[in-house]
Amino acid sequence: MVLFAFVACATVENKKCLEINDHLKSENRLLQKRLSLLQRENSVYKQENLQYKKNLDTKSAEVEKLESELRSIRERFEKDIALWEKKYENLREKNMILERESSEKIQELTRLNRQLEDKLGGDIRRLAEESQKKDETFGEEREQLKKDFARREFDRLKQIEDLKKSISELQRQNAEMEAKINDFILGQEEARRELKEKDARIQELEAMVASLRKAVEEEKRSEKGAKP
Amino acid sequence: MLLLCALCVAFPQAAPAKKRMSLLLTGNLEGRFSLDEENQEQNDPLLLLGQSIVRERKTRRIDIYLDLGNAFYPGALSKYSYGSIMYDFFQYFDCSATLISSSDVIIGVDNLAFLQEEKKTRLLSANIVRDGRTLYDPVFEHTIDGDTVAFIGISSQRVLFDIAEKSVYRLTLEDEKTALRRSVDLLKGRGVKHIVLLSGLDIEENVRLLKSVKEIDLVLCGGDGAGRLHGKKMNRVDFSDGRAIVFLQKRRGYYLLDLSLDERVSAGKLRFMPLQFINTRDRSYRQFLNRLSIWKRKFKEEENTLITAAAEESVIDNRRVAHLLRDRFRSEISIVGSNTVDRTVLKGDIKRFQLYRMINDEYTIFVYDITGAELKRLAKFSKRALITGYDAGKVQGYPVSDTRQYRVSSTQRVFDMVKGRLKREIPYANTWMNITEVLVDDLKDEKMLFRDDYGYLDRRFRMTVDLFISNFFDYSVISRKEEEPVPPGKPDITYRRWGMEDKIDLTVYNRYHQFILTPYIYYIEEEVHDGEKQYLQNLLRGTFFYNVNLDYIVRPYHKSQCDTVARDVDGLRPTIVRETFGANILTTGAFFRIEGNIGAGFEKQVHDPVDDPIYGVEAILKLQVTFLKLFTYSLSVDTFLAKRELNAGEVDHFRSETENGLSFALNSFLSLSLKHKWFYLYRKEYDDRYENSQFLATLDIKTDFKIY
Repeated sequence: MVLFAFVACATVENKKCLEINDHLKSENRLLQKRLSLLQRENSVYKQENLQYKKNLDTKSAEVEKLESELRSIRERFEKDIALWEKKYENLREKNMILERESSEKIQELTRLNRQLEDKLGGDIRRLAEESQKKDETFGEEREQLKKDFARREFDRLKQIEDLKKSISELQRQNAEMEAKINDFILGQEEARRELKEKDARIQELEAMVASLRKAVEEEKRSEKGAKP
Repeated sequence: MLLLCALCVAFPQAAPAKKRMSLLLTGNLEGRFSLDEENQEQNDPLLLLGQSIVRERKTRRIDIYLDLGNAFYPGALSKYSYGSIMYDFFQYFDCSATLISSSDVIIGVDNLAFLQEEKKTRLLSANIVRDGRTLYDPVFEHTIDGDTVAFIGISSQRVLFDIAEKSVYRLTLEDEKTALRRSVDLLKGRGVKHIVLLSGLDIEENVRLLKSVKEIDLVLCGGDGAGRLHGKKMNRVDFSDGRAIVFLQKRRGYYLLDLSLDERVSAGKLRFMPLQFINTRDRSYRQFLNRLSIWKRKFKEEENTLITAAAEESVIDNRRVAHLLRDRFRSEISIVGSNTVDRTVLKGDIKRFQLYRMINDEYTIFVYDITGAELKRLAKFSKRALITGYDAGKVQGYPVSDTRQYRVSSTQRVFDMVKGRLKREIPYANTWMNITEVLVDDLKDEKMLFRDDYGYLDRRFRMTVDLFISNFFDYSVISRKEEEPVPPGKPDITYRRWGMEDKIDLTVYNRYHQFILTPYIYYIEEEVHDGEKQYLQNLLRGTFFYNVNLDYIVRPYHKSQCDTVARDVDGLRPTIVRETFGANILTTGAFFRIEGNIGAGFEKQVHDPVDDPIYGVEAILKLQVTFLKLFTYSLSVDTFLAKRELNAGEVDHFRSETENGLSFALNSFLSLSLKHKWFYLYRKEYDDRYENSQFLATLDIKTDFKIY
């Protein structure tokens, strides 16, 4: 019985120990897992941090470089600004002088301009008057030319009328001749010859008429071209 | 005023426009980052996903990004970082919440909770409970144009906590309906009307939940939620009341889902978007890319460490790993899950990351004992697991005994499956090592993993000890006057009677050899009041049995048996030895076991007095039939037929021991038995026949131990 009790107690105790042991092993395993996670995460973050640090250093160096560049640029700019300011002053003075000079010049030019304007006004007036006169003269000339032309036209027309009359006369004569031809059938050869002569004469006259007409037309054209 | 009224009548107020919410959904990402930095932007599936998420955020109105589970495991890099890199992925790409699923907890629930601290991405599970309180956020809420939509996370019942976490944090997986009801009531109390469930449950369980919890408008499944109905994949299940279950089936991409917020939340069209390379300069993406690259370098640095070198090519698969577990933990059986090892060819330098890639079960290895009957039951359901060490009803070449214990090694995940199948609590020993650690240890040292022949495991010697104890004690005290008559049927003298029939089978065996040493005592002593002792039974027997365990039904054996007396009789200790060689036949079935020996040899009395040997034939038959689970009928016949001289014509010696028994098992080691023993001996030289017939009703203790 005692042995049983002892064994039972020992078993209970042992079971409890085993439970505690198991619990500790469980905790140990979990902590190991957590530790691994933390170590690995930490290592990655460290590396990432280093990268960022490196980047930051590079950027800082760049910033420094840029700052020194900025400083030198600023200095240069300051010098430039001083120089430009000096130049500006000079230019301003020059400008003032020039302004003054130009004011005087402007006054002079204004005066000259006024004189020129006056002169030009006189000239214009004179020229206007001359032009008016020329216009008047030209009107008279044109009137005369018109008259001449009308007269010449009248003459030519008269000549044409005369020629027309002579043509009609010749035509009448021709008709008479033709009648005579009819009358003198027997003397056909003679008549033909005479007719030929008459025809030749008619042709000459027609050529003359044509040349006259041409001359009249040319005169007409020349008159038209002469009109302003 | 009249005009205004007229206008109001003529143009009634338009119904308010439905509010909309756009979701980007992922599931089963499994932390599968590529391990190479080179061209990772074009090749890493999770970077491609990240690029797509960035694009979706820039080009569309994505209100929230949700992950539906199994995001952290078994990707090698995620495993190595204990989920940290995957959590960074969610953080950088602005994932609002992810559902905790069965694979995720392998990373460690505690580690995940730690990773969540001070992060925007929330881990969701309403039914993972620690000390009565939810470990993660049960709900994630998002407000859009004044309307709040709540997303409740319910983890799958397949979630299996690491035994260490379970023990330290007292984690439990609460019934999903209870957990959901609690969260819904909480939300209702706060006036939240729109509730969406992110579920890791299968389709039937989701339907059951939707039926019982009417407040749920929509269920989204994508991690553990398989969405299989009668073996067919489902994309969506719509209910007549407008509610729906949506499943994300495809991988290597993401889904876009538009929700309409009306009286209920209703799901619009679900669009799958495959991954493609998109060049992006997004700041978050670049920052994540930088961190991922560091993790990859770190992983390679640490995991690129050489473990060993393999001269020849070896294909590592479930079978090899299972054999290695048998070797490492001296178990007869090893069970590994069907997807434990990604089949990998190892040759040349073997590095740690290769092992990281190929192992998909990080749970620690348990060693436990199950009975032969349970082993047979498990073998019938071995589709999801590979059982090694058990082949065609045999273990180490011997038929499995239903009642004997067999040692099994498996991971906690498989153990949980075994426990579920056998429907009982199984005591176990935690080795505190997982498969990867076992592989690393082995590759550093013995390299058993590379062996092509694991037959040596069956050639390992084991020992069993079977105890059969059947004792009785009878002490009868008579008090009477000499002249007083004895009442009918009562003893007339004081006596003390006690006896025992005890046997121990010490069996040492391996695949080919079996040695059985059996001390046996059958002793009954009666002592009357005057001190006179009588030995009713006085047998002390030692048997040494050896057989060669060939694959055939018939196996050669050798038996040495020595019979003597437990107590000297008249100062003498007669001793008979029997030496036989022969053939052993063993066959077993579901309910029976038959073993027979036929051999030839000699029997010789070697002491008190010494006699000449007799030569003969031995025939032994042992039959055991179990019926109605608790009843066992057994028959044992042991005969020896011999002649004094080999050339003699007639048989002059015959010995037979027969035992018939019927036992009723009270429990695994106690049984009530009715036995009939019959002993017959014929010796021609004495022309004598000796018979002893005996009926016994006993309470037997039978127990066995195995030394693995």
